Amino acid sequence: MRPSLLTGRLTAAALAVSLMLAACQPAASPAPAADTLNVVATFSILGDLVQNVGGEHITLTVLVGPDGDAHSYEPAPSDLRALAEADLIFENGVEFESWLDDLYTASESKAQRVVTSTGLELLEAGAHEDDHAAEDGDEHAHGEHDPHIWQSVPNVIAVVAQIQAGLAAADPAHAADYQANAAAYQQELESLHAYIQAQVASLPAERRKLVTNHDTFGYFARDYGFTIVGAALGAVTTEGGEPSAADIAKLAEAIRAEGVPAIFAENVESSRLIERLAAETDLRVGPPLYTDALGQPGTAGATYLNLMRYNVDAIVAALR
Amino acid sequence: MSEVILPYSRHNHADPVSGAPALAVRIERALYPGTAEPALRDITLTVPVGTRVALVGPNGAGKSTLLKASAGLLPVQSGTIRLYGRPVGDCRHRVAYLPQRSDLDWRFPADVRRLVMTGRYVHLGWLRRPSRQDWALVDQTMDALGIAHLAARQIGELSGGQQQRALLARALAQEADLLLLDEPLNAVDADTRAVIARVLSDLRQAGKTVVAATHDLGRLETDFDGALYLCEGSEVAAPPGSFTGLRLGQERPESEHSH
Amino acid sequence: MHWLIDPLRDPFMQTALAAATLMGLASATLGVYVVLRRMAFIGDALSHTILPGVVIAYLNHWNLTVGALVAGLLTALGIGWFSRRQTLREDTAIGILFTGMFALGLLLISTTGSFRDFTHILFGSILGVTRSDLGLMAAVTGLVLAVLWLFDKELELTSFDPTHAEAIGLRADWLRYGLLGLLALTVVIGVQVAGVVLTSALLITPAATASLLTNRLPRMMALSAAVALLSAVAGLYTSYYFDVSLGASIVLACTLCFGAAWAARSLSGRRGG
Repeated sequence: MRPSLLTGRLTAAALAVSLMLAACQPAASPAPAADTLNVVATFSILGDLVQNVGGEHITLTVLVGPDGDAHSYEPAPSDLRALAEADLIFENGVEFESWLDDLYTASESKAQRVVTSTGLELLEAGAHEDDHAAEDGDEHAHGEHDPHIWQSVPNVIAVVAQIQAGLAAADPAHAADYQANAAAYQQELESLHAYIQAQVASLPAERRKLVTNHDTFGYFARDYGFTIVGAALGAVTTEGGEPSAADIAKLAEAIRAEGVPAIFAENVESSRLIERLAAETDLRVGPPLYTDALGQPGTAGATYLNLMRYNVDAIVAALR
Repeated sequence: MSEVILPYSRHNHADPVSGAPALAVRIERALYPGTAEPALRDITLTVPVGTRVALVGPNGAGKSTLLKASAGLLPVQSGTIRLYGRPVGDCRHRVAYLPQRSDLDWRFPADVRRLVMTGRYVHLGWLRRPSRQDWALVDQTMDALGIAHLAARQIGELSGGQQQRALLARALAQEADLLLLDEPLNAVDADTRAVIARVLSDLRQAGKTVVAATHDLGRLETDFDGALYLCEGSEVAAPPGSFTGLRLGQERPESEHSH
Repeated sequence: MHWLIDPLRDPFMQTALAAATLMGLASATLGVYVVLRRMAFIGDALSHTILPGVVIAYLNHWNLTVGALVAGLLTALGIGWFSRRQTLREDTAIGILFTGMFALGLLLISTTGSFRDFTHILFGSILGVTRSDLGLMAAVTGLVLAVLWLFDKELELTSFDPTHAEAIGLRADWLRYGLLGLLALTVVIGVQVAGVVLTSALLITPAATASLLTNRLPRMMALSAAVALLSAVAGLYTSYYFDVSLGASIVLACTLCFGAAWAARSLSGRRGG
């Protein structure tokens, strides 16, 4: 018995090690060409925007990649090195990247930081919930804001302007290119905005109601005329957050009362709660929406433009 | 510097009251925290200096409890215990308590020499480390009890009898005047039994006082000067024909004896 | 020799190695008592109980580290108090307070309606350690080592024979409060700079490894510290050359050390009969 136990243990250990080795690619630091700007974007969606504006003049490193959850981000040495060697760092702000300050200090980075949400009209955290639960009173009054600004295209048009300004300031030699790139991309964003508006317009007003995992669609709802009936996890973000039984019951009741036809899960998180809620309310679960991250290359959400198109198509199709 | 002692408890080193017995117990009620039923009831015991006294009774009779109360490990709700005329805790260095073997975590990574050395801790107090004299005394004591060759063994590797000898060595290393021994003869081999009997007699020669719990009636007469019989937490009369020796407890009417 | 030196070129890797060394020294030596006193749960428990402290501190605009520290120390006191005189087994007291405090934290979070990720404080990353964090960690490590050195004989005695300790007037419960307090301090600081997984692992795995290899307390502490330091260095190189999380690499290195010690012990045990 004993030798076989030991062999089993050794095999398991060997397996674990080989899995570990297989899981990680060798350290691939992007070879920085002499005349490009080293740029870090904190997460995949922002990275896509930055790449569209920076074009060939930048070498971009994205910290939280596709399908990654910025809340449970665990850095690797190359991430720190990217920060250390960066000329410019783009971040969302609104406390979305709560870990960035520490990493920035630890890396002893000299990079300029650009908070791309600067100047936007921000939603109070949980504010839209109060449309339905006004009795909650001042519980949300801690001066906090919803960080998920990219769910509204007009916000992103402003973000692109921030990115352009940031790049131009750091690399004046290519300012004209950045401006041209930004203008072209903003053009595409305008048509995306028009597309979303048209899609939403095809949906009867009383069906424009959203139930999702997290409160991530606040700006989408504000700018495209949706009502957020509730989020399964409320405003609580990721690890350890759990809704109270009363929250679930209240939400289920609101869903029935509002006649919401479908509810949605998201790409960065398990949909267990959404499925439970669907079972309780006899609702369809819509396809997972992209919330905090791009999809992997080759998926429908691999770029910001496609991601938004996919989301609005999925929402409209499910709610129709 | 080494003369400065920071004792573990403040009243560690009070002098004995002259002429007082080594142990004087008058307990009306003592109970374990969190229990309602008293563990001890109506016990009077006087142990003169220099005597060896056995606490005799079946398991659960209260022998261990009485020793624990005398060692200051159990609060007495009603009644008093005096050691050399002083309240419990006033002269801890003068009193050595030998616990039952099950009170220790024998799997702990300590060796026998270290275990015996813990008998010196009451004299060392905070921050002081054992001196060469302390180690010499410890080695000498282990030698006397025939466990010197086990000094470097981890305590869990000892047999029951060896563990008992190590605990006794610790009690001796403390150089106490009063030794409270809880079942020192419990489940030990014949060699250990002989060693312990010799120690008890040596202690008497040295003028020390010993109170030991035992449920072994066989050797009371040779090993002890007196005996107190306990049952269900109370003092009882000696069974007919059994050893009594010194009068230690309450003055009992003759009728109870013949009962 | 370049491969040996390369990982230490980056200043953040030097800081991380220093942090792992300090954390390793404090946790691994303290961990020996954690393992010997059978409180393996304590690291994980303490790290979760700081959640309500953080939330309350946040709501009142207090310093979050202070909030975490107060919650950790209160939990340590609570564990000591509930399990004094064996009214309740220590692991039971730990389990009750751990889940209770964590639930309180979650409940508080659900009332704030905040987007802020409070649990983030439980997932610090050792690569994010700054030079100013190092000072605090050095102070904690110094305190831990000083206490373990100065009170070694008392901590040892109360760990294996609390009865004798009480009989000679040494208050075993005070020492336990002291030990729990040190643990709270180590865990709170460790969790914020290194994350909950690395902190719990450093508290248990090196000490458990050492306990397989020796049954002498001082040697056990030295071995435990050696395992932690070896794992820190091995983890550093793994993390650098495979570009993976440093914290996870160190934990895995500790686990491998434990596996190796277990295998060595099993093999020698078989040979010995």
